[in-house]
Amino acid sequence: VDGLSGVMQHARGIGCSDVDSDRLYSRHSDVLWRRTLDGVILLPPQAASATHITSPGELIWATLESPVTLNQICAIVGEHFAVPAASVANDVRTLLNDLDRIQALRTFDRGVDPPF
Amino acid sequence: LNVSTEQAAQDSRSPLKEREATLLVREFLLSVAGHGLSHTTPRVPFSVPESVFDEFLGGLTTERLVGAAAEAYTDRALVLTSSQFDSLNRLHKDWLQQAVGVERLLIRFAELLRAEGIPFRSLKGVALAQVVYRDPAWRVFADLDVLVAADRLDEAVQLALRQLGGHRAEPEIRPGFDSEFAKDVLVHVDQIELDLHRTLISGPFGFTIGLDDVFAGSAPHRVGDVEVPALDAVSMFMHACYNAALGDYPPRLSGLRDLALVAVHLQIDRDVVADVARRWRATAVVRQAAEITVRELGLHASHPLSGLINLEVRRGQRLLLRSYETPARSYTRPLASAIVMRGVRSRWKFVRALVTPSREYLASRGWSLRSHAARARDRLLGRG
Repeated sequence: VDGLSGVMQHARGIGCSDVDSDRLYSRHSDVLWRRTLDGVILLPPQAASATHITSPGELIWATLESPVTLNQICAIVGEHFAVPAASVANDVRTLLNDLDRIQALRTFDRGVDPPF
Repeated sequence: LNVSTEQAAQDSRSPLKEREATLLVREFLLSVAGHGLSHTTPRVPFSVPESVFDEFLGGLTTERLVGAAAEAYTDRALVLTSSQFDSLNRLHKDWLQQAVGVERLLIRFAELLRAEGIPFRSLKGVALAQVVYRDPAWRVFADLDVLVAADRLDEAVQLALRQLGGHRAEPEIRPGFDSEFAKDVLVHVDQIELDLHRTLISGPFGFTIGLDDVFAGSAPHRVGDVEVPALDAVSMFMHACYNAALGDYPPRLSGLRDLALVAVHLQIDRDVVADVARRWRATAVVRQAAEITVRELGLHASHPLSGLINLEVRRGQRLLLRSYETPARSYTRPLASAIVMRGVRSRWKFVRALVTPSREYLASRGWSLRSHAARARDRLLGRG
């Protein structure tokens, strides 16, 4: 994602209905994945089959390369689609839940060393 | 992963039109194979007429260029209609789904091999996609290829059978044949072909490779969060040459694209390659691979491969090359292998295994000893 740090700075001032702003999210490093023409294919270690996520999932997956908060993800997605960050919060949260369900996501609290 | 070409077959085209369509599709496939390569004349963006699009997709599958086509589309070199995009996207996703499945198998198998201390190197698509390609999604592959130290090959096969639940595609020709003479042993694990290589290519040139050289170096690549050893730069280049010149007949375009990329990306030095090729008695292979790739992909004289076209090749090696270039190659290659093999005892064991395979092996192919001999005779005499 171009200009990621700039967008993250910007994110601090944006309300994204983040109920737990100290929570950080990132990819599981053992997920095998590929960029497709319209999204990303993911294969977590224990999954029976691969999962395909489409836009804006691809953007969110790219953002999750390093730990980010929900606010920061919303800001990046909002900026990319030129919409208010708050308007994408539900979609982002749904996708994070989906990624968590297939064990593609790691979460940890700010200030706590990530377990990887 | 097969693309239906039923519609194309149903088209009522005259033989002339059919020929024109084939040539047209070939041109498109060459454009895809050459896309993004350095030291070539940049190609103008192109689109594929609907009338030949199914054949084009079929060609992408056959030539293993589905990833390259996706790359060309992303770079706006290949222009697609909406329905064409859907078709390519679907096909690309199928291949990528297979690719990540193959990578998962590599992780499991690498762990088993490491636990047993068996030296190995990842080969071909699974390594090339990560090491050479700008984005691994641009190099598709369907099988897992792993080179294993020859004296540990049988153990590696047993690991694949017992620990991964695999089954052999066919029995060993005769006991002890695999670890001494086979190019590889094919094991099916779930829906994936696991190809356990003893050497890098079949036939006589597979017997002259310095496998100690190959295992002396390695270059790691990441698969998920695991590091896996691939061949070092020179061995990877040599392997790409074997594949481009001898792997398929006629050569697959993806093999040529791999070679063109490996030569540039790994900054191959001509003198180093010439020295290794001489020691492995493979100068003819390197020269032939370079010639085909430069010619088919239109590489300029500035491309590193162009400098290998003038390598001097001995007559004996040229003759060995011919054993790969005939419809009877299943038989001419073993004959040529017997010629280059060192030691009378090895040669005798090899020939005896081929002439009188085990009953189990013959039965797996539905052959008797007599039909096996008749088949070999007919092929060698150009009658079958």
